Amino acid sequence: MHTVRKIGPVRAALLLVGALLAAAAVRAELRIEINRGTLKAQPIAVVPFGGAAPLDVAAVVAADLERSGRFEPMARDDMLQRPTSGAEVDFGSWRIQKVDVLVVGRVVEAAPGQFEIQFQLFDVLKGEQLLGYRQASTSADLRRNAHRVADLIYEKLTGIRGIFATRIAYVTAQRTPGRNVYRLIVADADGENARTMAESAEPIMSPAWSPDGRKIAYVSFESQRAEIYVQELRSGARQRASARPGVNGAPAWSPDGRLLAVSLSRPDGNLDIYTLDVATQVLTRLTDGPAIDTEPAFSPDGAFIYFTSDGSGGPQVYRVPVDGGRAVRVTFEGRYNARPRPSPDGRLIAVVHNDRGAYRIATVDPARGVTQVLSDGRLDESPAFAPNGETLIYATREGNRGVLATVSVDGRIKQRISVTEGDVREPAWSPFPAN
Amino acid sequence: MAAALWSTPGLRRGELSSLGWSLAAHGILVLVIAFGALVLPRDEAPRPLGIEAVVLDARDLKPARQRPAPAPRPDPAEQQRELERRQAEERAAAEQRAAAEAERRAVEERQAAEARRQREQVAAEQAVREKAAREKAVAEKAAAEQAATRAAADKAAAERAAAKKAAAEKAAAERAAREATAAKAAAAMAAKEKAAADAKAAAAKAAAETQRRQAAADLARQLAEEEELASAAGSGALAEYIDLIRQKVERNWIPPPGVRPGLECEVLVNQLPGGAVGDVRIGSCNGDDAVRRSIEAAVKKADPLPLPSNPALFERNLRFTFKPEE
Repeated sequence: MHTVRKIGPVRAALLLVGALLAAAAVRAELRIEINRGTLKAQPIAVVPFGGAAPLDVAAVVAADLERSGRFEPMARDDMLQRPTSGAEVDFGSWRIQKVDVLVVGRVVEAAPGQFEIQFQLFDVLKGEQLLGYRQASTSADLRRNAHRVADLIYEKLTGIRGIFATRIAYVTAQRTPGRNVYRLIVADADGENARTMAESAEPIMSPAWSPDGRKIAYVSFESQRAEIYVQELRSGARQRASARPGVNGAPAWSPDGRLLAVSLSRPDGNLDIYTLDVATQVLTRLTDGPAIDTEPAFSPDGAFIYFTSDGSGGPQVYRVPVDGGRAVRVTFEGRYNARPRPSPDGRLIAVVHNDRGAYRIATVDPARGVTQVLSDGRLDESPAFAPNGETLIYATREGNRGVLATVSVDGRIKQRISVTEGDVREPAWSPFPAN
Repeated sequence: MAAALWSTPGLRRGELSSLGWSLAAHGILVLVIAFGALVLPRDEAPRPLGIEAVVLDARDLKPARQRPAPAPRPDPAEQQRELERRQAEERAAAEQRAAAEAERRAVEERQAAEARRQREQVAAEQAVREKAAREKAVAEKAAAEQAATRAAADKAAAERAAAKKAAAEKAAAERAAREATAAKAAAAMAAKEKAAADAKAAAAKAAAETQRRQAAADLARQLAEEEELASAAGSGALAEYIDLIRQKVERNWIPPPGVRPGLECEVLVNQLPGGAVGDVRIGSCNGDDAVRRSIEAAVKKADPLPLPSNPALFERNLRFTFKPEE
């Protein structure tokens, strides 16, 4: 904190009859430095949309914004007015109610089953419109399009692209005596609209989204051993990508979607990192040695692969060039840093970090050698960045079952994603949807 | 040293100025006296012509009206008749009794003549006497009148003289009085002018002195204020004030998630005396629209800004630097 008060030197001039004293201090100003903000969420009002729609669009938008942790939507009961268009907005009234931003809109049924979502976003403090949009939608897409509305609002207000219209993939396990059921599920980012992509009595592991968001690679033990499959979301069609002798595990897509980084045990039984050209099936070995090398992930620029290795004793994160070369250790803080996932901007690496005996989600900034623990569970696992890099999703334990949780990259905002069934593990966040 | 440089010519100008006032005052006095002399009447007597004319008319008119008629003269026709009658009687006496008659006539004539003569004499004497008496009376009257006239004239003259004298005296007195008044007025005016000029000069001097003192006081006060500010700043009151504002703005700043270390935005804020936030202007800022909006909102939502414990520390112009730490 540097605060400087400028006190102007006095310049006084004494003049005689009829003359005035001119004592003019230099225009002073107070300098104040603001070094932090509040953790409070921004007050927003999402007024119920007008029109008759089969979905409460405003409720979806408000819930999205609230779940982000950045916004605090006003309760509908507290709304003194319910405008549905900008012309009806009385900014003074909203200002009195301490609302910073206001969303009003309506859903118009253009034709049977065909809707148009119209909405406007207002800066209440300045009394000006920030956004005005129309979004056509079928009845079935209303929820998805409501998420898109939330994304537009979020991006306008934060400068960061919203992730409400993205999806998540995860694995559930229902273990009942005599029969276990493992499922690969894809759901909206808010946990709604869950669909089963694959189901097996044997474990399903390590789902990974292709960069275009159309396919998911995962490991299935359906053949009693670990094999890698790639499945299209829309059609459900899948192909076996790798079923080589030994372990075929931990697939990860290259940014261009051409390669999968995988961990294979090959004949010697030791896990090493390879790249697999999905189309040509060309396999390239990147690590070799006695260490267990697994859980690979491409850097966003596609030049490096991060992975976990116990070459130094305990598991630590290393990095190897995709084109071949020597692996370099990346993490040094603590004796356990595993399952690396780089942030979309490549600056941070999310890891599972043993923090005084507890396994927690942390980010490592290799350039500065800083580790920041974000979660507070005891057995947290499988961190993954949301495509905007602002939030991470991970699996944590709640009682004796696994649940999904998110944490903001600064560790301030933590949320649970409600998934109703079973033991939930290994979440993966989709890329941004193609528009 | 601007003060010293300015004060000397200032004083000289002041002296010139008061000299000018004095000259002007005297000039006005001289003008007033001169003008008074021109305008006020000098030896001119009052105009008692009306009164004199009445006196003169009375004198002229009275003797003319009272002048006696002239004495009657013998009638020529009667004299003729008397002559004819005497001729006839003489002729008759001559014819008959010529002698006696003539005698008697003569006697009679003589007697008659005598009587006539006597009558005439008496009449003449009477006439003379009457005339004399008349003349005497007239003369006396005239004399009396003359005397009266003379007396009147004298009196009038005396009166005129007296009046004139009185008028002259009066005029003189009046003049004197007027002159005295004028002089007094002039003196008063002059005195007033002088007093006014003096007062003005004194006031100017006093004003100058007051201003000089005020300036000195202002200077002293300003120095004291600055010293107070400095000491207040030193004692932590300013730091406390700044901290109050900082805390309130920080409480109201919701940094967008994109805010990273390295962000630096300046905001210029005008606050009103009660702490109400006026103009908010973003200066240099390396943040995006969302950051700028969040900063503007932070300042606006901090309205009203806290006031300092020491009002002297209040400052209208605030320059915030939003510079988040790690």
